[in-house]
Amino acid sequence: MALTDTFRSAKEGPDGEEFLRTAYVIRDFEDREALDGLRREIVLAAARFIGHPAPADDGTFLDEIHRLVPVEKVNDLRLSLYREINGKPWFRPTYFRLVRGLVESLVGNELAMQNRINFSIQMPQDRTSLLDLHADVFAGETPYQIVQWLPLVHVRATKSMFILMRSKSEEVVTRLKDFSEGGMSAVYNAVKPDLVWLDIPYGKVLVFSPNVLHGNIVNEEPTTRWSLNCRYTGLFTPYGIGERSLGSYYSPITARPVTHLGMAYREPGGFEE
Amino acid sequence: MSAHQGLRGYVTARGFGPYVIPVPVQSLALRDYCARKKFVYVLPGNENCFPHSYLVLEGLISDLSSYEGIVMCSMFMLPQRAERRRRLCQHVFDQGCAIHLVIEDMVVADRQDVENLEQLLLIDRLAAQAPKSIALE
Repeated sequence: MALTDTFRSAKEGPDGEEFLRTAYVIRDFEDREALDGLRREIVLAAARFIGHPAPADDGTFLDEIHRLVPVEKVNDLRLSLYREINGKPWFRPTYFRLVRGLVESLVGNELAMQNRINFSIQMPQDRTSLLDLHADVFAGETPYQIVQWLPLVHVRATKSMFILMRSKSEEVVTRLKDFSEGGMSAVYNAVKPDLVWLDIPYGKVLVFSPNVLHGNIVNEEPTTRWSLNCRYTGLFTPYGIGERSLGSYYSPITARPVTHLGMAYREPGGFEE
Repeated sequence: MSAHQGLRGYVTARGFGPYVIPVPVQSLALRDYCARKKFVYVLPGNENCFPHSYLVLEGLISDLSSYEGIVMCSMFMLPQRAERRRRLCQHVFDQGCAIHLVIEDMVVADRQDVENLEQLLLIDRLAAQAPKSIALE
């Protein structure tokens, strides 16, 4: 019998160390076929919404959607896809399957998953779909969560999102009150030189802690960004404010047999002294 | 076409005045307001939940050059200090923009509107100090 002096498995070491240092990791999807199938369903739904025939090249169709949809209609398209695709019984299980091993190594194997997966479509020069510098935990979300951020096209530079490395983010957060006058714009200007603009080809996924500062700016690239995002947290960790808690925002996806047994246990009663 | 288009939303998970409204419900209210008033609705900034922080609001108003103004659920989401509120409103006006308040159905677009707003907030504060009932004997 091989003896060991660690509780960690070999496969979780590198991911965990990199994640703790930077607060994010970019990895290959664990099931490329499922990714292509998921993207195809979204493309077909988008084509139906705009009355366009099913495209031959999914990536080009998404990249060039701004040539088919005016910017003032982009939010209608986004909301339509959000409602339709989130209504599919395969959507969340497939989304999770794409990164299950990575999520389990970073968070745990008893998980709660966000009830609905968010859609983001950012056309070139569109200022209506911005998500300024922020940290999700500032808005009352749990600090024990990660985000699975899935680009449906190759994203880079302003077509992508930016993130601040963990050490720099934590440093600026300790002196956040110093920016009360200028607000988050002043924070952005202060950290701008340190921002990392993530270059993520289609086929790779970003998993990050939204405790660190992140966001996006106007997409100045010639093609449209499409991305999905969804949060996971340990089932038995503290949740955020009411609207971001279990039920309203999260639901259990991988409760284990012992947990079910434990929840079913009823202490005997009725004794008298 | 005008350089200013649409209203930038502003939401908060904190309670404000007599209200505690979940952010998704606030977003629905802002979206509905913009649809009714024929404004393009621009996705909202979500204020930090820690007390007395207006970092997101201050950030939003620092550059409104692309928008017609900002829209939020209530006047009670503005800073509690009158001096800070006035400065914030003036900064919005200086950019040719206005503040839209959905619950009060009020648009704060100039100095007179600020005076009306301040009067309303003052009366609300005084009314809260009034006794709930008066003993007759």
